[in-house]
Amino acid sequence: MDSDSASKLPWSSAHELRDLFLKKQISAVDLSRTFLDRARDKDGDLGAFLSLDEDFILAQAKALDEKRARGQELGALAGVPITIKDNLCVRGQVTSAASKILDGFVSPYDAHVVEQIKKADGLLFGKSNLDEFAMGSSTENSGRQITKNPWNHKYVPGGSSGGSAAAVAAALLPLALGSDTGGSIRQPAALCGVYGLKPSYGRVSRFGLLAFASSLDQVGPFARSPQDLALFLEVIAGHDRRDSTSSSRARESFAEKLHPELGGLTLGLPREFFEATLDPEVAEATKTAAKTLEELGAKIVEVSLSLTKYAIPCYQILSTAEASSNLARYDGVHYGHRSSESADLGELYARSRSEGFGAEVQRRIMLGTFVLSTGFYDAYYLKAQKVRQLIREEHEQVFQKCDALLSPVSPVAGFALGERVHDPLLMYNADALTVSANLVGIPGLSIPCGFSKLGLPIGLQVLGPQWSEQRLLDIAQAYHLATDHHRRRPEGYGD
Amino acid sequence: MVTEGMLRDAAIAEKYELVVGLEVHAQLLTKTKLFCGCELQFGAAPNTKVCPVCLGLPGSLPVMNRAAFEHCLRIALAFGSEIPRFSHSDRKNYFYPDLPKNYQISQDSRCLGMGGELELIKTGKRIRIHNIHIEEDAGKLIHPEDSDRGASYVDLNRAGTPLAEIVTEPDFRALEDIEDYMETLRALLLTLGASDCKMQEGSLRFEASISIRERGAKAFGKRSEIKNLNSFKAVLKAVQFEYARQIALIESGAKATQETRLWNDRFDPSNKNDQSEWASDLARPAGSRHGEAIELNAVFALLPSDFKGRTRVMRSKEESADYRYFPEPDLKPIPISEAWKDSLAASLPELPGALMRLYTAKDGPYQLKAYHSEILVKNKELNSYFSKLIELGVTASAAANYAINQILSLIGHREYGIESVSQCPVTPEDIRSLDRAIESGRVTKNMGQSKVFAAMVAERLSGGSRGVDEIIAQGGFAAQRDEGLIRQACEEAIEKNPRAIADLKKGKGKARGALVGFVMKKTRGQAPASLVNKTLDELLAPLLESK
Repeated sequence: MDSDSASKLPWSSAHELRDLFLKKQISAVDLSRTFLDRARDKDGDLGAFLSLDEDFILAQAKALDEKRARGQELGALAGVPITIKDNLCVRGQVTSAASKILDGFVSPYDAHVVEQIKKADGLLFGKSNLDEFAMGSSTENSGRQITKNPWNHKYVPGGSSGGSAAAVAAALLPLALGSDTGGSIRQPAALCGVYGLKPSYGRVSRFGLLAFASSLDQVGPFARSPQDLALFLEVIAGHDRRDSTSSSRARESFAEKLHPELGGLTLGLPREFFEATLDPEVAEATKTAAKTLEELGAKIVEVSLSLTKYAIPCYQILSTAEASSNLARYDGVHYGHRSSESADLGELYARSRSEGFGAEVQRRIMLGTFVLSTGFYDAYYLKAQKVRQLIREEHEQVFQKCDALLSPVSPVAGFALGERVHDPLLMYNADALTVSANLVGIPGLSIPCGFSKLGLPIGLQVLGPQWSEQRLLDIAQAYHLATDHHRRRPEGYGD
Repeated sequence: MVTEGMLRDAAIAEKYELVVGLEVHAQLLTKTKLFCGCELQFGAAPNTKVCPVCLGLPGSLPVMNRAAFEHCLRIALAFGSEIPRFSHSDRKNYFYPDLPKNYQISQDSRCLGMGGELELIKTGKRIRIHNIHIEEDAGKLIHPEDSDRGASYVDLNRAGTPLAEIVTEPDFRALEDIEDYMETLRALLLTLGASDCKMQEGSLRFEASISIRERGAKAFGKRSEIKNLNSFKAVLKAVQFEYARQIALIESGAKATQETRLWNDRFDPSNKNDQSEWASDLARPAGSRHGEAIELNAVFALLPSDFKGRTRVMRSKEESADYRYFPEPDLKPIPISEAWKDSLAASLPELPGALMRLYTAKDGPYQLKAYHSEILVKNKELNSYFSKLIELGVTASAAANYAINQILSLIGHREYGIESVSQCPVTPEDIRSLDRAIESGRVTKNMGQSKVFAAMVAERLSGGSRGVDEIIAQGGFAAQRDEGLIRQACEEAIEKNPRAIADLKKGKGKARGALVGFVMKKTRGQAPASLVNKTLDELLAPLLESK
């Protein structure tokens, strides 16, 4: 391979890399080395990867080359390097959720999605940075490091899957896995100018995902094109008997069925989502995108989701309640960080957890513990469950009127590192337009739809009824083919 | 009714009524744990029966064990509990090193079964069930005595073991009923095959909530909850102790408080160390951990003089944990269809209380003695042996006698090495043949049930296939049918037992036994008792009339 084609590799799609590998134009080892070189070159400053185990990567690549040499059948992601958000378990690899509390924890098993990637012959390529336990919207809550936005290093990449979004945006690899509890895939995808999909609740197994809020969490893909996104979703989706909440729906071939045809589709613009949008640039870009979709044949209607303003408080109560319980297991007794200075069991718990968890995680554990406490349960948790049900019903009704909803992903085009990190309430507002999808369990896709004056990407959110991933991918593909936003590359990474 | 002898002073026992409710944790009989595929094996090396799920490792998720769920559902159906259309799991949050997730997956308000009752074997009383629910067990802490620095260890083999928790209403007023309930429940669980009920392995564990009130009072007193009760005896003794302690407390002018206590059966009120433990507990605030509000002597003065054991405060109500129950989001509610319920209900065996009624009914098909009936009801395998004998045409009373006197006596007999009825080498068909041999007079009842049966056991244990008739013939066990020989033996008996004759003449009927015994000995037990009696009657009649 000459240096010219090597320099083209990073910006190649997953489809292209797989084809190169299948046609034996490149070996998995060479491909891995190219991406490892690039990571070494670019990531020192960017900070997307939490760990990059070169031996582990090259061992996979070598095994894959041997498999190809034996003429064995190769999977849908053959030779494609993929980074995994570090709240997903990879056997034999450090899994930290970017938290000190998991110091030294090496997972003895693979998450379901990781197994699926292995079965599809993908290359597990490092673990990506996140807000500690996926709690945050800027990746600044990482207990390990800061990740920068490739488009402007002074800006946040979004969060919590900021490492995954930044890595794909900077072409450190074509695909990344994230998780989305209140917007953690869609918001960083928007801020980094890539595609990100939160699947329907139950579409992808959560087995091996370090739980933040079990009833809201969902694993999903990042990519630079709807085609790659569809391919990746196809691999990770499907029933897993180890996750009782995973759907028994049959697998679907999203990529093959991709059909960029919008004729007959009605797309709704929820009025309240635009009221919650702070930045006129973002509202403008979203409306322009809607116009483009209209020109492509969709019918645009205005709709109302009157309960939108309750989504954030409802989410805060339910997600923190679940988190307070889910994170109880990190106690210094069985694995991870244990305080060296405790005299008795109570102190061991208190000190280990105080030392191991960051401020935001502690805040949410306390909030969640409070809302579940005797005397407060009915006023908070139970009421929030009722509100969640009402929000669900309202979405069901709105999907009687339209096939999908269009809105901004993030109320702003981006914010600077350090700008919001000391103002939790302002930070929580970053999820204002995304949390409803998690409460309702519907899929949401973030599409790059323009840039702010500062040159920061803006994302368009498409939301559909449960199990409508194919429709969302079709809309994204139609938009992708009709627009050029996705062709822009961040300076310093475009080569 | 207050149990006789619970307290030294019957009058004070008459003044206060005992009120008890029981919670039972029964380990459900499954191959694997409640939420993962780990094998359940008692006594395995520590932490060898574990996986990411039962270790509560990051990212692991539970999946409900269907067999455990069905066991629990069958128990609920047996109680006649109300079954919800969906079963919901809840998380019970508390921190403890043997609980790897620091929450237990249990059921709070929407249990698998609500209400229902259990009909007791002995008295036929009905104890109301508050609820039955399914939950996972915790692991086990090990505190080695020789550990330096006081290190403790955690064994998580037991973590995730499926349990049914069965909670009664506070319906018990007497120890007999508590014992009857525990025995009936064990019989039920064994009959259903829902638990092996091995107490020594912790398959059945109890908690009792105990309060007292003046007889006639409507309101319940403040209750104490006693944990750590791992045998029937411990339950009964702890209740007895609490009854006395609470009475002593009230009589002293103090009030009972709601608290959780642990039972210690090794406490000895005459031991100096134990006395000083109590004394130091008295110094602590009442209701606080280990705090005691009443003198040792005041309590033990009420109890029988040889009473040992005490309960000790673990925590008060104020200190009790807020478990922050909420719906388990990792498990979808499980729909319980009418069809599922119906098919499980249809598969339920006769329940202990009902079976007891059936067996003992005066005009019923069995008419067994209560004593026999109880043994059968409590022993599932023996009962099914009994049922097979009935199917084979053996009469009920004979079948019960064979089952209890012959078959049950083999179990645990050192000589035979038979540990359960199911291992018994003598088949119900063998017993039927033996029964026919006896009924037809080919062998005497006595001979048949002792020597022939023993020979048959030996035959079967050694793998032999000879039938009863062969064993009788070849062993020389056949009944003596020669009336002349029997008459001869009877005449000899009368001749050689003048004292018995003299006694008989004085009206001492018992003396006749000596004559029968003589004849039996003479005929090596082969003389049919009826013939012997008839002959003796004939021979004795003239002697006794001549008086």
